[in-house]
Amino acid sequence: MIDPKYRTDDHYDDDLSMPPSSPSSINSTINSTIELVNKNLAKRYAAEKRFQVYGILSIAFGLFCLLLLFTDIISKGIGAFTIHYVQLEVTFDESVLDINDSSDAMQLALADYQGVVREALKKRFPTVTHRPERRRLYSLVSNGATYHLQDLVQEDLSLLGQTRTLWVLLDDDVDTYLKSREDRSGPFIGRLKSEQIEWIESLYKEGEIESRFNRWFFTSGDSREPEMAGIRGAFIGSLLTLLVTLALSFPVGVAAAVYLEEYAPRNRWTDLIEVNINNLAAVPSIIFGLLGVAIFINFFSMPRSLPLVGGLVLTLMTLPTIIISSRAAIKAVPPSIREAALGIGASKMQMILHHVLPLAMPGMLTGAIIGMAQALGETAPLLMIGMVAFVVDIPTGITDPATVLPVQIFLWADSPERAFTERTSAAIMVLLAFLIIMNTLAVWLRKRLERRW
Amino acid sequence: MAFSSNVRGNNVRGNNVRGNNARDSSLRSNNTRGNNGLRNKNVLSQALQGGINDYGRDQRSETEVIREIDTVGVPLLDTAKMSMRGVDVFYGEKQAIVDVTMDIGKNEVIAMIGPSGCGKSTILRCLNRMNDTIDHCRVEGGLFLEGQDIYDPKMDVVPLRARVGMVFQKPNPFPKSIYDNVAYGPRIHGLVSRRIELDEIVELSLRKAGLWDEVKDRLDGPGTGLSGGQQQRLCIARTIAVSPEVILMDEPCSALDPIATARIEELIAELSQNFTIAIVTHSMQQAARVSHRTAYFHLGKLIEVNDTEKVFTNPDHQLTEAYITGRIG
Ligand SMILES: Nc1ncnc2c1ncn2[C@@H]1O[C@H](COP(=O)(O)OP(=O)(O)OP(=O)(O)O)[C@@H](O)[C@H]1O
Ligand SMILES: [Mg+2]
Repeated sequence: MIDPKYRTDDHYDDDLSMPPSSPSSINSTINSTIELVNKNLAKRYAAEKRFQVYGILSIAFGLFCLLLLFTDIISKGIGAFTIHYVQLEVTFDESVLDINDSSDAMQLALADYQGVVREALKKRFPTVTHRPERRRLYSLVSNGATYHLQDLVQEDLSLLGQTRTLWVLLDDDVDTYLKSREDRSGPFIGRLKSEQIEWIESLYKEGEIESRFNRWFFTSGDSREPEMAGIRGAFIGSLLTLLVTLALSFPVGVAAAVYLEEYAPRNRWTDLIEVNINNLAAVPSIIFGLLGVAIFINFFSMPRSLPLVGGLVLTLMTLPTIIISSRAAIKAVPPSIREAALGIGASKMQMILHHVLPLAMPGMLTGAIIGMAQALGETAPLLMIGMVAFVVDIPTGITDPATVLPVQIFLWADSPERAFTERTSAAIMVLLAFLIIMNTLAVWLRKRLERRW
Repeated sequence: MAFSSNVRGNNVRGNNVRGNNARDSSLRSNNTRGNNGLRNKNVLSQALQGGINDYGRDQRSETEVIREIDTVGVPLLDTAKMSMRGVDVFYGEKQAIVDVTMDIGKNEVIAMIGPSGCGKSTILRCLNRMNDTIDHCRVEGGLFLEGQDIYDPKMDVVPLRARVGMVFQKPNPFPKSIYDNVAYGPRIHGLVSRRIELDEIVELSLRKAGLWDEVKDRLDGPGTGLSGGQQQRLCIARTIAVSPEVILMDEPCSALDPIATARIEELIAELSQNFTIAIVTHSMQQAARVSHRTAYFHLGKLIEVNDTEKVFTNPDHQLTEAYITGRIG
């Protein structure tokens, strides 16, 4: 692509071919110099243009890939934020529910809420009498609907014996079918039978099916039923793990960096430490997982799947990053500031605390955020320490079993149901949003700290 | 001499009376040294005929010749504030200061001049142990502040640096407010307990540094937002806020324009009433204008210390003369 005559060494050859100057010909030399400069000028500008174009092309390529990624993920995942409900006339019949004493909490918890939903479906489609057909009819509605009914009854006992018009959650197959109804390639039928599709269509035509915001996705933990599966458990798990990581790795990393930069003598030992830190930053993360298993789980016999253990492992992983960037930030503090502080009698610690750390803080924070972002997206080491378990309950502390967002994505991506594919992309969107918020926070924090002129 | 007319007349001479007395009474055992100096001066003077770098006839390097020269002039004083005795400074293997012996008198302004790389900054930084921050720097010999050994292992550098303050070549205010810049020293040394007292110190220091009128309305503004000259005066105010006994200045005006330089020179003259000042400068006019005594260094060796007027009109050593007349530089 580059014309050989534009090669830089040719330029120099041109320059060198300038006529040798003698005092008598000094004017002509100046003129010919200008001529030569002018002659080369066009080439130089062309080279500069090309240089800029390469840069713009690279950026455009990057943006294009990013756009592709985002459109793919968003188009796949956007559906997970809505879910279809069906309108049913539900009668809270005590005999169907099998409740005879409404003050007995046990009875309320174990009551047959599915039964009343089935009764309602039977009532809506009275022509369906055949047993296997009935079972297919019942399977249109999600099992999750029962939790909703249970909550309603427990909140308001006067509902018993009454009839209410309720919106009941549909099964994930039905939901997927309804979402793909308008697709050019035809609706996704999956395991649905033709009579089921007829029922769905008739409900849809009557306006008894509605698409609503999918609050399950944000409020529940993992589930075998895609329509009930949510990211809340994984999100909280990620948050707790990151908190542990940040709380451990930032102070430890900064302390190590300060010692190495300001106090440590330069000798073979510190050289060795420095080389090792740099190497650790390049070690594949799964190794840290193995280390975590060996130290925390086998040696200290901590239980598996805890955000605490996850945080400890990720601390090991992010420490090198934080130490390296903190050292760079500390090194970048101008020596004149240190001298100024020492020159009026500040002790070394005062110099560090009053001047070096405040000036290095933005850089150290950047490093910490990069480390945290890495930790947030990390999967492999967490698989090693068992954070890949199927956890339904939402963790409430760092010692509750939990999973994290990337692992959740990994788990869902592995599931065959199409509804999980949708949720995988949606979870990726949440993860990206989490990252973007974190980075924005970091940039804002840095700006604020840097604003101290 | 080109600079003799620049020496400030009676004032400087008047201040120098003390120096002259000192010379009379403090020649001490220096006679032999003086003779040695003269002998070497003759060796060098031959060399000087053919240009300062031509030591070929002697078969020795310039450094070796310089090493054997003895300091001429009046290095020792009766009223010494700080003294150096046989000071050698090494950066790793390289010797930057060779056997320097001299005194800095109380309330005097001493200028240190010499070609670039001759060790002026190095010797200055020894006086408040700023060289401690350089790992491979080693200081030998005796340095004393009022008879106290500065390099004594028991000596605490924090109070030492409070007593011997330093102003650097490049203005280096902290990235904090003007007020906080000046207040920093008194705060860390716990000189004051109440805000009012601190305010007083800040105002007084800024006034002494001749900066008060320019910044009194924006004490909360950034110190780095001032002009170069103002920043340097802020640094001086910051230094004098802890009331040091000695102020070391390393080319304080090299980054400043002539007007700002003149302000700082005036300031040095005023400060010399209360403080002892050692100033390194590349401007011989400046040395002549502000100092009482001048020390000339060459390749790490102290060649001559004398009253400023004498150094610039009738130096004792040919190397000094070569330098001030522009033959070395
Ligand atoms: N940190 C250091 N490490 C090694 N050598 C140094 C260091 N600082 C100074 N030197 C050397 O010591 C000698 C004296 O340096 P110094 O800075 O004292 O010179 P100077 O007289 O102040 O020069 P200038 O007028 O250019 O500031 C020089 O040869 C220099 O190369
Ligand atoms: Mg210097």
